[in-house]
Formats: sequence, structure tokens, C-alpha cells
Amino acid sequence: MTDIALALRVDEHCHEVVAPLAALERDPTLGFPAAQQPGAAARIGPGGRILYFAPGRWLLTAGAREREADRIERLRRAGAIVIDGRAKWCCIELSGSTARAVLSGLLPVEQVLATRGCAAATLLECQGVLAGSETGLEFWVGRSSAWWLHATLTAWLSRRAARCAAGA
Amino acid sequence: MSAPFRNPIGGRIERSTPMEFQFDGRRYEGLAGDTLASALLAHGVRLFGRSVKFRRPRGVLSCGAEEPNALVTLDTGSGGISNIPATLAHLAPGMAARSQNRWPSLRFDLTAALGAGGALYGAGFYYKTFMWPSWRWYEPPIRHLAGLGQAPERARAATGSERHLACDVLVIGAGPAGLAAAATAAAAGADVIVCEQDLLPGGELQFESARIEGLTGPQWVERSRALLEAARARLLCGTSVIGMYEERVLALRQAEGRARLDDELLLVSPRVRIVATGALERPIAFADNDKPGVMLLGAIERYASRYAVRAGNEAVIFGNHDRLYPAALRLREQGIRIRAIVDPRPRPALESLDELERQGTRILSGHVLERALGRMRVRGARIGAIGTGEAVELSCDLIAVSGGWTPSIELALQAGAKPRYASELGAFVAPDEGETLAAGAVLTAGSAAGHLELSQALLDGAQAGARAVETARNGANARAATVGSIGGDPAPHLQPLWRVPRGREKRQFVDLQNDVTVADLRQAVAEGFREIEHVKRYTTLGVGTDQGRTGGLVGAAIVAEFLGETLAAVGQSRARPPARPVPLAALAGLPAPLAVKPLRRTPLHDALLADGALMEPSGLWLRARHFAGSGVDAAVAGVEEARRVRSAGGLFDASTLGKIEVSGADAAAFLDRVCLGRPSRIAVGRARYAALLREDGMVLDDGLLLRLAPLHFLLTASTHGAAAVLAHLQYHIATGPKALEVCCADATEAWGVMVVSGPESRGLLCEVLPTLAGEIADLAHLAWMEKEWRARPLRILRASFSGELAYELHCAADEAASLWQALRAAGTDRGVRPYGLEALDVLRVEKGYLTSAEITGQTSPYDLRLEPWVRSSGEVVGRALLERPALHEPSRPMLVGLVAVEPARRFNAGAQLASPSVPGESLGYVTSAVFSPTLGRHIALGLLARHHALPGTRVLAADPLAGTEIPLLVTEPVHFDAAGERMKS
Repeated sequence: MTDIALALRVDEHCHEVVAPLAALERDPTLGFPAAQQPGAAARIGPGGRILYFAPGRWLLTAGAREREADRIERLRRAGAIVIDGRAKWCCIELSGSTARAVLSGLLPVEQVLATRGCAAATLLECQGVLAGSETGLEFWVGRSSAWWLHATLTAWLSRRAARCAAGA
Repeated sequence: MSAPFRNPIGGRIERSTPMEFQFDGRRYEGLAGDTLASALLAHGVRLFGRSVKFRRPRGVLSCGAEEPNALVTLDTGSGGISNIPATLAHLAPGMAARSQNRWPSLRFDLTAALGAGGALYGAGFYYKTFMWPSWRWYEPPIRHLAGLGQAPERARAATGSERHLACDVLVIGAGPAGLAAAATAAAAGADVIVCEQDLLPGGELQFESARIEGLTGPQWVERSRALLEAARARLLCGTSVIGMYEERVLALRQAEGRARLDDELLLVSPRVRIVATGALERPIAFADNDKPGVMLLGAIERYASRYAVRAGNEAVIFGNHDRLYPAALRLREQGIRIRAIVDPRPRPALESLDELERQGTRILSGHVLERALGRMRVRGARIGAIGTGEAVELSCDLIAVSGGWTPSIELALQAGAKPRYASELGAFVAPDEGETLAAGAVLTAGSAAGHLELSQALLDGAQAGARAVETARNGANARAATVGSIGGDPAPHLQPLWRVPRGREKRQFVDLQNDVTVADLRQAVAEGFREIEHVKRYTTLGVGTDQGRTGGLVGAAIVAEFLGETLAAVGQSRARPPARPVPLAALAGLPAPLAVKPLRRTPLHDALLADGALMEPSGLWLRARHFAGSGVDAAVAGVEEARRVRSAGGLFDASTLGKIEVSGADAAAFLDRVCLGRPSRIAVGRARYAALLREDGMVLDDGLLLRLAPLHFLLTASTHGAAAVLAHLQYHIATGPKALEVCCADATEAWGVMVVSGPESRGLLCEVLPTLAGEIADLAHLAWMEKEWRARPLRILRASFSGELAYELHCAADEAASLWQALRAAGTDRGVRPYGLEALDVLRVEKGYLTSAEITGQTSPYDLRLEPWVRSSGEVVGRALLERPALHEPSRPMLVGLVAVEPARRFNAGAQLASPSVPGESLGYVTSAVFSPTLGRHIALGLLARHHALPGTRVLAADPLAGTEIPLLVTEPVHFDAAGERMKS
């Protein structure tokens, strides 16, 4: 049996920042000091996180967005794209001590997060950002397919629980 | 229920747990830990099935996955699963199995009785016969006879699952070498996974008498298991590796005691793989070597040691190496009387020979076993002296054969290893990659690497484990422990023997599963087949569920003999995944309805449903096709909704439109390189049509390009083309001639987009956004402005895909629905109502606008009349190849408008266009066809050869499916308001 809980968080205040790689190479101070290497996930203040999920691409949750406002503006002036993540992204949260083990039925979690705090990943053919969290895992996914992914994961977890109960 | 061939002691079965099962409807009792094969052998059952071609009676040959003969169908609650080797079917309470390839019964098969099989199925028979008058005449009865087992008639719900695993070192095989490798790597701190196809680890240590570090084989295995557990290594028994790929290894984990449909697919990502899959014993071809009771020597030992089952009471052993003799002593201890050991070599100098002779075993050196005697099972053996030809017949109920060992290197070969012939083994091995190993490397160890002696295998395994750690941990040192062993089988001193050159070759079986005989191989060579891959395909040598594990190399060696070449020169056939049969259910993934593609909803999804939208999938998106109340069917509704847009107005959800932001100091220069029409000349606050070309000059997609800021653009793309456009842009950012300071990002989901079209659109917008009324009234065509709706971003763009005055409202996705509802509420009195894809198609065909029906990937900008955009562009990606002469030939297609000569005649998209003078020759086709409510006739767009594309030309729309040829008139693509007055009003 597992202690997995699944939650879908919508309308979460966050921002996606995409910066030209050439600009980052020219001026390494343009990036976020807390998350300088792709794969880094850093906590900034209460509730704030910076997920450096792919080269030149960050996801900043609410607290981080405010604390890094100046830097974001600097990035924007250097040509970065800042997308309103509240409209674009939703977060599916898997909490519980077995979250990683359970999700490895769908995604190579061990491998993806072996040396990283987050990474761009594909879960059930939905592209998104996988990140470890204090309570388990977060998968940030586009708003358009978040409902489908949540429903499918719910069904999958239920089927898996039934299998466990049957002793398979 | 007595099992007369079960020894009273020994074995690793649970004697206190009996299990009842059925075979061909008859009830038997086995024990927990048995396989179906061992349980039936314990009851004296020797006949397990019939061969696929000749329908000859067949028994068990082996004790593992390599079994070619004893394939059964396991009955499940929802139908049978066929072709399961009885040697792998772990006994479960109530198990019911059926034999295969027989009718009406296993003991009496009509085809075998008529002798039809032998006459019909020579090598390549189906390439030569049944050609006249037609193969179709013969196909039904042959199909009835052919095939292994029967496919189930009903589909079953898959219950399998998959799991991703990662590790430093993956060890494939938990025999002596595999366990030594795993223990060494785990002791050095590596994360280790061991996959073992058997339910128990140990391999040959289950029955060999060797002592390792003072422990018996089984004790050493248990200690290794405990060490692995303590080091948190994962030992996965019942897990077969089926495929080796560049980054991943696929393995199948059998759910113990459950139906095979429950298999779990493992996707393992190791840094280093160690192939320690051992070696398989191989047979020797002699006359009637397929009779039930002819078995591999090692298999007989396994049945005795692991299951306490005697495969017979009196055995003749036939082989060509020194290990026959200690094996004979062990079998004797298990209660099998060894009548003779037949060895073509001179008498070896081994102490065990004297012991055997004292026990009454005849040592027939310099002899070969010529023929197995008996009808439905072995009753004796005919043995001949090599020099004199003198023959003797001995009665026996078991013939144990051992022609040497073939290292199991299929997985190493799949991973890219090169086979090397090892003459001392008479087999191929897969050597390691050398001193330096890259990540993802493959090592072979133990018998798979050609080390057949236990002490060597243990040492080799430990060394492989140490090297694997060094590679996985970037040079970290690991010490290969010295594993001391005494005893164990001696070096085999093998003298290769592949076939007995006496007796009828038609009854000397090489590939038992496919009934390939020595005669078949001789025939193939005589007919000119020289490559082993060709011989394989012609004779079916080595195909089937066992993939020629036991007979493949034997067949290759015999072919080499007939060709007068060496086995090293002939080689062996290629190893491809899967390495063992895989139930399709295990590969199927999640069962429906979970296994469908993700569906995407727009931010307006619920609002559309509330308005009565009839949704349909469009790619991954769910989109409104039309709205309830507009008409009785989609076509009628589409016409009605289009009519309403032109007369009053309409609202359309365009959220699926791709929205790609491009930004950076070099953004304008970059877009000039990838888009037609000089995007750098677009002013901030303005938009322009944009088309992108692929590298080969064909149009990739089109859309609008908005300049949001001097360094910041927004490119819209078609719903279907957005992902390809984004990939195209990212590719050219990464590979452009110089490093560009530019980036792009997909913002599609951040915005809900609604289009307000029609004469009432401006008034409606001013009513809903009264504070912006003045600015909206002044907004020019292809201009945009940034505003807010409920404190969220709102972008208002004046652009049209309908030919009407229209505005695109891009609103933050989380507030888009509220804006839609406001527009709906205000639009009712104005007659503005939502419209769907059907109406959109009508409107855009009337205006000659392009979609994926015309941008097919095979149309150039010239074909689509985009020449002005090409002329105004600089060095755009795709332009160089656009000037190929072939793209300018008169036969190239060109976008045209089409109308039916008789306005009421309907014609369909897809109809072929032909000249009335040559109706059979296609000149193009209709890409999109609609009924235009504005023009009151059927109209279309088409791609037509240029030399026929002049307006006024008559063509035929030929629809072979409908059986119609409808006369059409070629027109300009824009059917309505060519000057665009309505749009610019």
C-alpha cells in the first residue's frame, strides 16, 4: 500500500523566464545566482522556488518572482521572455514517502532527479517540469492538458492500488 | 497421487505444498516450486506436443527459456496464452495447460498419421509450390495447419505495468560469474541491479558439486544473496532482459505464480552493463534425435537436482567432451542408471571412467550415437563404432546429449559487441571493449565470455564487477575479490561434433522448433544459399520462439561443412531484440482508456460547452465543430454560422493558435532569416502575415507576426503546426551561421484567444470595453494594442481570417472565459453568436486563405501564390533550394479557386482534377470544398498543374469512390471580396 496523495494546483502565481543563451554566456551574472546550473532547484524565501529546468529556462514561483523582480527586469532588458505562468502552468503535486517509487512506474524519476533538483520531463506524453519537493514530487504542466493528466494519474494510482491489494 | 519419477529426497521444491493441475484435460499433482515440465516429467509424461511441420511427437529437450519443443497453451480465465515453454511455466494451483499442434489428440494426430507433413514441407516449399493456379486456393488449409499454437479469439485487458529503474551497474544473469560481479560492484558502493531469468539465482551452482570458499554451491549462492541485500543491491529473479538499447535495457519481470499477462516491463538505465548470461548446452544431430526422451545432459541434471525428478530410469549419454563423465556419476547418484557413455573421441584419461565402469556403465569411446530407437518415445539407442561401422543397440528410456556449450552472447551483440570465434569452444564469444570503457559500456563475464571452468568464471565475474565500478564511478577503484573454489567440472577438452554423418539426414533434426533437418540445410546449400542469414530465411533455421538457442550454431556449423568453409567464416545469424518472447500485453502500456493521447482543453472549453458546442478532437485539442441550434448536421450548421458571421457577427475560440514569442538583441535579424517578408521592417504595434519555409523550400506553416517591442516578437502559428514551428526556430537558433542573441518560447497556453468577426464586431467590442471605444475605433487593420481585462493582460489585434472586419482578443488564460461571457451577453442583441470550425472553413475558403489542407509540406510558396513575399525577403532559410528548376516546371501545382459549372452540384475535397480531354490523368486535386452561403454555390480551393491553372479553364473533379466526374471552372483563389473592403472597413 502507498501513502500517495495527488493534488492539482491551478492559478498558481509563477513566471517562466526564457533568456537567450548567448546573452547568458556573454554576461553570466544575468542568470539567477540561486540556480546557476540547469537542473538546480533553489528555495528563495517562504514559498518561493526557482527551478532551472532547461538551459536558459527558469520557472519562478510566487515568492521568488517578487524577490527576483529586479533581476527579471534586467533579464527582460537583455531580451529575455517572461511568460505569465499563472495562465500557462499548473502544478500536479504527488506527496507521500513513496511518491518517487510510485511515479517510477511512469517516468525514470531516479535517473532524472539523480543529480538534479528539477528537469524538463515528459509524463504520460505531457511535457512539463519535474521537481522534487519536501513532501514528494511536483510536476508542472501546461494548463491545457493539466486536467487530463490529473485525471489519468488519479485513475492510474487507483489501478495500481488495486493491483497492490490483489498482491500482484 | 503418485509421481513415480520423483525422488524421495532432494530438490528445491516444497513437498508439503502439493498443487493440482491439468494437462490436456487430465489431472496431475505437482509441488510448489515445480515447473509444468518438471511436474509432468515426475509423472512419467514424456510426450508434450507435436512439431509444427511434420507433426512428430516431441518431449522436453531443455530446462529453461531455450526450450524449442515443449510449448503449451496455458488456459486463463479469459482465453489461452499460447507458446509458453513448459520449462518456464511455474506451477500454480489449478493451472490448466494444453498441448499444441495436434488434432484431434496429442497421441493421435491426423496430419502425422497421413504423413502429409514430410511430403509437403521441404526447405523453401512455399517458395516453389502452390503457385498454380493461385496461392489462394491452398492458403486456407495450409494456414489451418501452420503456426505455433493458436492466437486467442478475444482481446484481453492488459494488466501489465512498467517501471523505470536506474543504476550504476546492471548485471544480467545471476550465475556464478554474475553473482561475483554483482557482489564486487555492490561491495565497492555501486548501485547494482541483477536480473535473473530463473526464479532462483545460482545457475549451474544449483547442481554442480563444487565448493566455493568452503561452501557448497547453494550455500555460496545464499551468502551472495545476503551480501547483495546488505549492500542494497536489487536482485530481480524471474526477470529476463529482452532488449539492449543505447540508453536503456528492457527487461520483463514475471509476476510469480500469475498469468503472463501480469508481466512488468522494466526500463533500466544503467551506466555499465555486465552480460553474465552463461552458456547453453547444444545438441548433436543424429537420426531421430527429436524423439521424446532425447534431452540435453545439463537439463537432465537440473531436473534431478532442483526438482528431484528423474527424466528416465536408464540413460545413454552421448557427447564429445570430458564433462560427460562427472555428470554421469551425479546422475547415477540421483537414481538414473547410465547404460553407456558414447564419445567419438579416444578414451580420455579420467579417474571417473573407472568408477563408472565399476558401476556397469559401458564407455564407448570412438563411437557415435547413430539413431534413437522407439516410436512415441525413446526405447533404445543404436551406437556405431567410428572406424569399423560396427553397431550395437542398447535399450534405454533416456538419451542425454551434450555437444558442448554456446555462450549466450545475444544481448552483448544487441548492444554492439562484435562476435569472435573461439576454436577451443567451437563457438562465438563477445569480447569486452578493451581496457577503456565508456559510459553505457557492455562487459561480458563468465561462461558468456567463454570461461567455462567455475574458478575462471568466478574470477572473471569479480574482475568485470571491479571494472564496471571504475567506469560507472569515473575511475573509482574497486577490488576484485579472489573467489577461491575447488571441485567443479573439469575443462571440457571439447572436440566439436555437430552431426553424426550416418543415417537419414531427413531425420536428423537441427532446429527442433521448425523441423529443420540436415537434409534441409544440404538442400539450401545445393540451391546456392551461402550466407547464413539467407539460409536462415530459406529454411527457417533459428526463427521462432527459441530463436535458435539450441540449434542455431549447430546449423551454422553444418552449413559451413557443406560449403567447405570454417564456422568462423560462415558466422552465426544476427541477434535482434526481443531476446525472448514478449507478451504484447506487456508492451501495450496502460490499458484504455488511460492509454490514449493527452487531450488539451482551451481556457474557453467550459464556456463553449455551455453555449452548446459540439466538440471534436483536432490534433490533441478539443475544439468546437459547430454549435447546437445552428443546423441539423455539421455541414448545415457550418453554413448557417458562416452566413451569420457575414450578416451580423460571430465569436470564435482561437486559443489553440500557436503563440511563439521570439526575443533578444538579434530577434529581428533572426526572424528575417526564417520568415518570408522582412519581419525586421514591422513597426512596434503592428503585425504582418508571415510564412516559414523548411530547408527544402517547402512552406512549413504560416501565421501573423506581431512586433511587441523592438527586441520582442510574437509569431502565431497554425494549431497543427505550432510544435513544428517552435522546433524549427529552436533548431535554427542553435545551428545558425553565427551565435545569435535570441530565444523563443511557447506561450500558447498562457493566452485564451477569441475572434470577434463580422459587421457588428467593432460595436460589440466597444460595448464590452467602453473605456477603449475610441482606441478600438481607430485601430487599423493589422495593428494591435496592449490593454487589460479584469487586471489581467489583454492584447487586441485587428486581423481577420474570415474576410470580415474582425478582432483577435488575446486574454490571460485564467480570465479568458469571463471575457467570452461578456462578449456573448452583449452580442446576443446584435445577432453575434459563436461559430465553430465548420463555419471557419466556409469563411476562409470563400477568401482563399490557407490551412494545412493546402500547406501540405509538399507545396512551395510559388505553388501557394506567395511569390511577393519571397521577392521581398532576403536570405531566408529554404530560399536556396526554392530555386530548383523542378519547382518551376509547368506541372507543379498551383493554388486555384474552383466552382462547379452547375452551381448546385456538390463535389468533395480529395477529388482528382483532370482535363476533360484526358480524364484519366490527374492534374491535381481539390484541397478544400464547401458550400458558400454568400455565393450560393459549391466552391473550393485546389492544387492544379500550372499549365491548367488559368481562370476560366474547365477541369473535371473525378471522385472514384463516389463514381462521379463533375465539370468545374478554374477561378482565382479568392472567391469573395477580392479587394478586402469588408475586412478593412
